[in-house]
Amino acid sequence: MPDASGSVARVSSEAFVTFDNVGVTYGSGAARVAALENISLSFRAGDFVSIVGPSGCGKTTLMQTLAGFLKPSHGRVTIEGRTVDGPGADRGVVFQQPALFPWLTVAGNAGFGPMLRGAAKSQRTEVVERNLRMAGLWDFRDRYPYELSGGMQQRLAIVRALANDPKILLMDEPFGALDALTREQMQEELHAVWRRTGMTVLLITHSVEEAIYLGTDVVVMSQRPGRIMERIAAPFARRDERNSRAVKSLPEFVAMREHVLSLIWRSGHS
Amino acid sequence: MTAQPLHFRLLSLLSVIMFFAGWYAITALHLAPANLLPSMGEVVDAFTDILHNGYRTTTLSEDILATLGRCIGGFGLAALAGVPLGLWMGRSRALAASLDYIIQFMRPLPPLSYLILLILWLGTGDASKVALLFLSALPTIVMASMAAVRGVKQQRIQAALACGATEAQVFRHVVLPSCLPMVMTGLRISLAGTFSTVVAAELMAARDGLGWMVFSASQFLRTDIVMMGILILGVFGMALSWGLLRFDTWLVHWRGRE
Ligand SMILES: Nc1ncnc2c1ncn2[C@@H]1O[C@H](COP(=O)(O)OP(=O)(O)OP(=O)(O)O)[C@@H](O)[C@H]1O
Ligand SMILES: [Mg+2]
Repeated sequence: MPDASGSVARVSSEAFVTFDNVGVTYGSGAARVAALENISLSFRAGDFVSIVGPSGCGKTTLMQTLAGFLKPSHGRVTIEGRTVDGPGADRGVVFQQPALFPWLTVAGNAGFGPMLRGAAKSQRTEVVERNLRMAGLWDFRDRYPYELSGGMQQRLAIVRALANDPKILLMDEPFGALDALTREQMQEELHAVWRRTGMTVLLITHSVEEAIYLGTDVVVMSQRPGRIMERIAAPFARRDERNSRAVKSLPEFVAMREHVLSLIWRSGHS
Repeated sequence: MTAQPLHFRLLSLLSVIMFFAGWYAITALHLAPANLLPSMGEVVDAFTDILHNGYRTTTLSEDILATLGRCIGGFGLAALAGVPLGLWMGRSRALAASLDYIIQFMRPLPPLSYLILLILWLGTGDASKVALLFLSALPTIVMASMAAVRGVKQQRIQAALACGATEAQVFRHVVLPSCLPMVMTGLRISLAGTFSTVVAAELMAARDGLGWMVFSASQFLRTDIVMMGILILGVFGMALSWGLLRFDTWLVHWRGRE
């Protein structure tokens, strides 16, 4: 599809990922659903972008266009100035359901990407060991995914994505199925990985608290067709203070949370 | 499938004992004509006799090997051809469409209905029987393999693509292993079918094999040999199924656990 907007010039040298007037419609005729409309959004390398919005507003669809699983019906998505036209190892993806490979051991899953690239065995085992130790899964390296708890499976899915040294990590409600305690632990671990690696992260979540606590930017989306309502810069992720209880009860945190919640509330009932 | 607890296995064993006890009771009390239902002792005698002297022109092991060989030959060829064909059909809509009616036509067809044609074309030797078993096993294997490919979870494929997998790597490292559970189920179903078909095929045109032995003995009213043949057939049928089940449990260790 020819791109008439000449938008290359608008891509700032700083922008790492851009959504350029992206629209997605599913189906046709009576079954036509406009899932996304007029999405323009850009962020820089190292940003941690949280996306929140009511169910069905198009968050997953948005992520899929960046992952390259779905071609937008309109506009384009770029990463480092190049239009996305398919999936690739530069964008690690973590799904809501871990989608691990049950025929491979934990170590096999963790080394899946390096194995595909034909990395040398020694280098592979080194990456796998480092990542599994970091995720607290080293003792389980010879087990199979179905022998792990839900939280461990999700950690393994993150490890599998990280093994490819992606430029950006895309996560679709990765902690949705976890209990509150595990969820908080996973948030801290994810935050630590982000701080240490300086990687760019796109996190879709239903939890407004999680979005504000972890994100440098919180993007609030509205219901069908999905649009961006507001983008808010959040200061908490870059703070050194990591006592999550304390941070989450700061007055400015609470105020931001209430603001975002009221936005979602309004959009869900319009 | 997990191992049965001991008391359930005892229960299974009990029903077998009951069967033999009932058989024994009926013959010991002469409740049935002796030429229609032989006693257990007579069947054992027939077994030792045939074990040592063979039945008519063949030895017992020749008959067993003939039957098993036809089964394994026909089934093995069907698996070798059917699994790749089915996987390919799962990937290619065009190929699936081209072969759809043929497979759908073959699947419910009783194999014995075309046995006579195969005998006319391939003779009364093993070729016609192996071909029969091949053709009867093929549709189930093809259908299961095709359905397996179509049922691969999209998210698994996406996860592999996001790890940098090429099309070929997705097929080799994700689609193939994802298909194993259903392919193995297809193989197990068709193996059971193969075993029942081989015996029927040997009733029509054969000079050896367990089915032939049973059929031939029945014409001389040697019900002791018929009984013995049936027991051996059952035991080997169970053993084949059990072997494949064990292989399946080992290979598809994640079955039902994801
Ligand atoms: N494959 C599809 N075919 C048709 N419509 C679809 C498809 N996927 C999503 N949709 C529609 O697009 C809209 C956005 O879906 P999407 O999955 O992106 O929402 P979401 O924000 O991720 O929701 P949730 O928070 O519940 O996961 C929904 O109205 C949905 O019905
Ligand atoms: Mg979603």
